[in-house]
Amino acid sequence: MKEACFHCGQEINSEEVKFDEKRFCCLGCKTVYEILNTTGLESFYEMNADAGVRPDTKANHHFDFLDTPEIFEKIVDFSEDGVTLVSFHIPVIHCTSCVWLLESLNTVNPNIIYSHVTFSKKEVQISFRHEKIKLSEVARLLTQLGYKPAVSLQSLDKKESKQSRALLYKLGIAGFCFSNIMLLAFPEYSLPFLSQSPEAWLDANKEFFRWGMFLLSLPVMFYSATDYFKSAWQGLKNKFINIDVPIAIGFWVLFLRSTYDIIFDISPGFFDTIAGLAFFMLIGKWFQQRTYKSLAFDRDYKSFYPIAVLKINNGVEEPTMLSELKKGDRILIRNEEIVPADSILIKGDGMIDNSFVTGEARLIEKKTGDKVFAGGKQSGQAIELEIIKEVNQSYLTQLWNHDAFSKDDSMLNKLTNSISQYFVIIILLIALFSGVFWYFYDKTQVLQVVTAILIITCPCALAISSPFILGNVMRIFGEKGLYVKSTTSIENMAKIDKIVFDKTGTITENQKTKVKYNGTELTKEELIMVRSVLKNSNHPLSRILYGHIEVDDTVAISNYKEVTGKGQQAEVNGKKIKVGSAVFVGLEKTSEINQTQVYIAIDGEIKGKYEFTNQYRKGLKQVVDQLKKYKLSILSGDNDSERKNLSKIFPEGTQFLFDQSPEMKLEFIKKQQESHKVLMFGDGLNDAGAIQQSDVGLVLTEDVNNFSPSCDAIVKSDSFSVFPVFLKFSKISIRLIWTAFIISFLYNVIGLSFAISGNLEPVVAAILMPISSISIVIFATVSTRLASAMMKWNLERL
Amino acid sequence: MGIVVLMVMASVSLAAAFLVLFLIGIKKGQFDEDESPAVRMLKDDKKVKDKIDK
Repeated sequence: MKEACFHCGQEINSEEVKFDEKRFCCLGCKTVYEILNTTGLESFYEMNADAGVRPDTKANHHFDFLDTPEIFEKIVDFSEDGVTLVSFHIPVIHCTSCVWLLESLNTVNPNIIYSHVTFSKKEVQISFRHEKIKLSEVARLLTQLGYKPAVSLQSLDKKESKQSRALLYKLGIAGFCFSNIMLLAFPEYSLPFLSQSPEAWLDANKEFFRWGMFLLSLPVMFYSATDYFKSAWQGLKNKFINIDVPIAIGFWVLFLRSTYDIIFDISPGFFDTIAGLAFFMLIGKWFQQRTYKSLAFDRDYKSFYPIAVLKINNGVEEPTMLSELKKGDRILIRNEEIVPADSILIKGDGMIDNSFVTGEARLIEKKTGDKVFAGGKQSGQAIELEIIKEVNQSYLTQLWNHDAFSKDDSMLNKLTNSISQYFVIIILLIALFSGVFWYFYDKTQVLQVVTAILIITCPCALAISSPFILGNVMRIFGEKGLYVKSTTSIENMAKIDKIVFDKTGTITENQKTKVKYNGTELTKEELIMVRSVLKNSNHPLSRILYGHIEVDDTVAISNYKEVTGKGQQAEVNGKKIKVGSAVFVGLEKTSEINQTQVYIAIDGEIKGKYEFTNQYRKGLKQVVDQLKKYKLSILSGDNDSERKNLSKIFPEGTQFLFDQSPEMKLEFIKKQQESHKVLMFGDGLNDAGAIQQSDVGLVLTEDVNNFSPSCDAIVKSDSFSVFPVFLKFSKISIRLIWTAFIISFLYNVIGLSFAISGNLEPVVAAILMPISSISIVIFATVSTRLASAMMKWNLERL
Repeated sequence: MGIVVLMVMASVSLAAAFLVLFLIGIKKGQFDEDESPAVRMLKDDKKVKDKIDK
């Protein structure tokens, strides 16, 4: 059957390129092979078979703007003494071979000094001699090898917060103090278990051990645990009791009481408990903080727009930064470039691909004088545009000026925090009552008991339940193709009662379109002829049809002519074949505007037409059937031509809204939120507002590295069929958290019984506290894995 | 008495030495990324390989 390309391993479809007795799927792959072979890097192929990335021959390779001084300065990290350091984000980095190849760049081009890949961020840092090789040439070299750097408007405002190492420092120091305090605490712990009187050496060295522990607890109190104190203080200032308030109380009571105890020689103190708590809680934090670094969840239109476009100034083209574009400027948009601002077409045939904006892959034809909205991608020849609205005032971009984008609701661990409010009150009450009781029973014990209660109820096990469980769930989701931004999103997902779908690109397939033929049956010969004509066109519809027609041969054609936006014609075996729009083959303009059609005419006789309709995602019906508990809505920017088909799939009572603008989508969500918790499931930039406004915004994408608007979670398109399982699982994980809470409460109750009766020895706390934390961690890991195993993940990997 | 104190001091300072090494490691960025180093070590140095082949 079909063979795989030697370089990229993809099926060889249209044209086969033979070189060096190897087969390649395209010229791009062959070029990479050639480069690698001539520079002695052919062992690339020995590491992983067909690990290469197919270079995108279609995309534009215009990087000249990178050499404009002002842009150059903003892109590079450092440039001095003829050496420049630059970091590129390369989304396609995926395997060991990629890293190897990208780090061998200096072999390919000697002017590159070194290159260094950061795999988790999919970034490569390149150091090169800028006098010998231009930045644009570096970018072009990467593109040639198949690793096209993503240079967008976003890369201008970089210097994202350097990855926080503070937590690791705190964790390391807490771990060190914890283990060494344990070492020092141990001798005295052994006392109750010894039958004879304490050994003389222990009594003599007591002071040394105790003050040693005190010293070692200082870094924990004044460095490692400070985040909890700050957060507690922040909470109190905002009149809100978060989980860190009881934790901070617990820490300080522990510390002060222990210090008091060793000064007055009452007990060895609880220093090991302090360090242990800090250590376990920091581990929980670290566990929760590790997220998907390579995925960006906060992208706005900036990461989608280019940095610069060609401005036409008195007939001279010069790269200009988007921020400097003004109303009335003339710009040149070449093939595969994005229109950055609302403008009017001045020259050329516009074929605008709005797939990023609406999710629809169909090309829209624009004529001179037509308005072109920002966000569309030109495909075909270069066009000249006049800007009528500045970049950030355009139809699409002004969506980001909406206040939905300025709100910030990053409240971590909502569930834990809401519980802690009651928790604090109950503990204080218990402490108060036992204090009163002991006051009348034995006055000398009051302080001991009250502090003991505050110590033992320090809700550390409570605080780590949610990070560990949700952190695990997050990993399980990731394995199944749902990448959540933070664990809070999982909590929110569990509360959803309404789901809003975008139509195009979300519940319809983005790439696949259904092709249906209507008219007189074509013979095999005729099909071969049509296919031969189609072979010459790069029009997307031609490519789809070319793949759709199931004959293998092609024959020679002559007099080929393509009329952009209309169709193509050629002579095959003496017959004149026309493939194109209704008008092109000689029909009146048809009334069915909603459909995309391609007509076939042979020798002037119209044979029939191919109809292209969007195909609904595989398993959509099953997904909808599993969502009976939720209220459903469909929002679509398109007209209502699909209403009939949709109402067959979706249950009665589903709201259908058509012709929705991005703002209308946002307002709709806002209105629904008055009575519901809303999940918005979309894909394009035009859903960005709705996704931002919703309680949980999900974005569906074919490739997780592609651009996606800012959201709470990214779903891989082949995981669409298990979407209901994700929702169900998020609910289960909330139940698991409650179970973990109960377990940690049980430990607290046991501890309380010691504390209230005045028997809380440091050794009891030293045993009870770590055990409760460890059992929570074990419970979290085991229960989430078990729950996942019991779920029905019928993933259909395509 | 002396020996216990000495032993404790020795063990704590040994642990402190490791802590310092760990902190230096963090500072140098060794823990920033845990994926590409694992990949990088698989990278064969071609020249070395050629020498071995000869």
